[in-house]
Amino acid sequence: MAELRARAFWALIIFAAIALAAVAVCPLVGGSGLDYQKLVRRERPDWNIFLQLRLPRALLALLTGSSLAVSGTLFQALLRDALATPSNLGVSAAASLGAVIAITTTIDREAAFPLVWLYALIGAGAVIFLVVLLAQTNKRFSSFTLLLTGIAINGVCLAAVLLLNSLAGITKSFQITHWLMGGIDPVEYSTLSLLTLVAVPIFVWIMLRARTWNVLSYGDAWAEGRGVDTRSLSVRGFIAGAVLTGTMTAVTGPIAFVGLIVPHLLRGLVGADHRVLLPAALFGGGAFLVVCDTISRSVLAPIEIPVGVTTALLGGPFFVWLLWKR
Amino acid sequence: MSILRIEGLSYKYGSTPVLHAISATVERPELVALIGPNGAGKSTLINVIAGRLRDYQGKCLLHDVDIRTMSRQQLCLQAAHVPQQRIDDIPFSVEEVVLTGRTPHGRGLYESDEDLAALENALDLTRLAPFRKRHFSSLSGGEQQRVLVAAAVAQAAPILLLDEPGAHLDPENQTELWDLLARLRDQGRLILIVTHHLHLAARRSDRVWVLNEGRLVADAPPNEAMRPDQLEPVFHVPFQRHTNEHGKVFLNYG
Repeated sequence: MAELRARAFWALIIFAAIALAAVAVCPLVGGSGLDYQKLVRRERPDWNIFLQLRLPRALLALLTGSSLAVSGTLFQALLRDALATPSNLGVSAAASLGAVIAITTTIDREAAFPLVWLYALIGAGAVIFLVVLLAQTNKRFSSFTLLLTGIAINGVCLAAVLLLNSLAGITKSFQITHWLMGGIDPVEYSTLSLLTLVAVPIFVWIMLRARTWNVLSYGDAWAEGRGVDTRSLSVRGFIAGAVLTGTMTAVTGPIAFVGLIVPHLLRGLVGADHRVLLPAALFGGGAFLVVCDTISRSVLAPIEIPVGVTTALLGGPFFVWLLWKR
Repeated sequence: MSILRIEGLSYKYGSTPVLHAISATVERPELVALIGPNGAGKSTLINVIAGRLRDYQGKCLLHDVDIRTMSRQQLCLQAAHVPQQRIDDIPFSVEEVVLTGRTPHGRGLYESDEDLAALENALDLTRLAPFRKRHFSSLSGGEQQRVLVAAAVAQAAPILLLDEPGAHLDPENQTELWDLLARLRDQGRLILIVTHHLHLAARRSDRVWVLNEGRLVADAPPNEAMRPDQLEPVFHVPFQRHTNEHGKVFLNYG
């Protein structure tokens, strides 16, 4: 066990260092090159670009990537299925629908973040409620049923979003489209602090239960025989994942495949034990999205590709490869 | 003081009755074989005792404590359940699987020294030490069953509930399993094992529960409970039983 402790420790340190490096370096690269001498002297405009645009953007990417990767890892353990992610279960789509409803129904030009957040959480919560309901009524509900349900939810939510979009005026429609593309935009530090306050306690809650997630991934029958209250723990796990996903989706819009790619790549690298995997996913997922976001705003500069497009272009083929390998 | 007491236990799946007013008591650490045809309710009974099915009628007491009053963790410290469902596709090593048995002993993130001692003991008892680093999924069905029994051993509960652990074992491994169960019984554990290996139940168990259509039709030592005239109406096949000069019992059917 000393060996496991060491592995968990080094996974945490190494991936935290990678994430730190990504946050430190990525804001310095980009389309319009920064004048590093001005940066060092903290002179306008470069210092302001760094401090008010690029650094909060990198921090938001870090937080979002971490949340998506940790939720993905958790959902995969809860459903014992490699393809279970917040996106595949329809949680992201439902959160998106909630957010789009908030955007279209507000009279103000810009929908306020707390409202979008609330609606996104309601959307994500509704899907989790559905998942739990399915688990309660079907004694042995399969992850297959859930993934198919997820496809249905995705379809319905997308249709509803398109309907709202076609009914909305041109300004709202632009807002919706921009939001749906999934992107990391510079945010206020106050928003970042709020997101951190929501996400960090959930991260801690999830990571402290790493050993139990391991047992849960053996299946309900085995876990129950080892003293794990599977049903209540699964419900709480789903809620934790949904709050993380809903919160981040409210700010960034849907960002595909992070919850899928990161846990899988890391499982190959550090193993399946959640005591090692979760810290790796936490910082690895964050670093991954910071890098993806930097690619998004750099490759076609001055044009910015939404980061959701970058992750989908990387993740789609990966997803197919994963399906074929099964 | 009884180790396991069941009083008037009934269970229905929806409106289909599966267990009818079963009562039985085990007072000493014994090796109890639970036999009966498919669909007799053996797994259901085990699942009730293991606390997996809560909506039963009647009572089930472990060491005179009603299992309804126990948390799942408390129950798992009393009884270790090896379910019938196969576990496959888990990316864990033999050691890691065996250590899951230690889950009810602590909520810590890492296993304690006590947990590791229990792991060594379980690996020794089940002769799995050479396999300890192997991937669970790379083992044969029989070896996997042994690993699951080892996890139940590591759980260090005074009661073991085994649902057909010998189903995938060859004769040598089956014999070894029953040797292991006898050793565990001698260490003071009560073992309730669901099995279709009637000849081994007849020879190796201390007590046999015969379940037929949800009713406990026999609860006695094997030489009383497993007479051909008793088994034939339950299993609907002819049975032959004889004892050789060393007193070994042979039970054949079909």
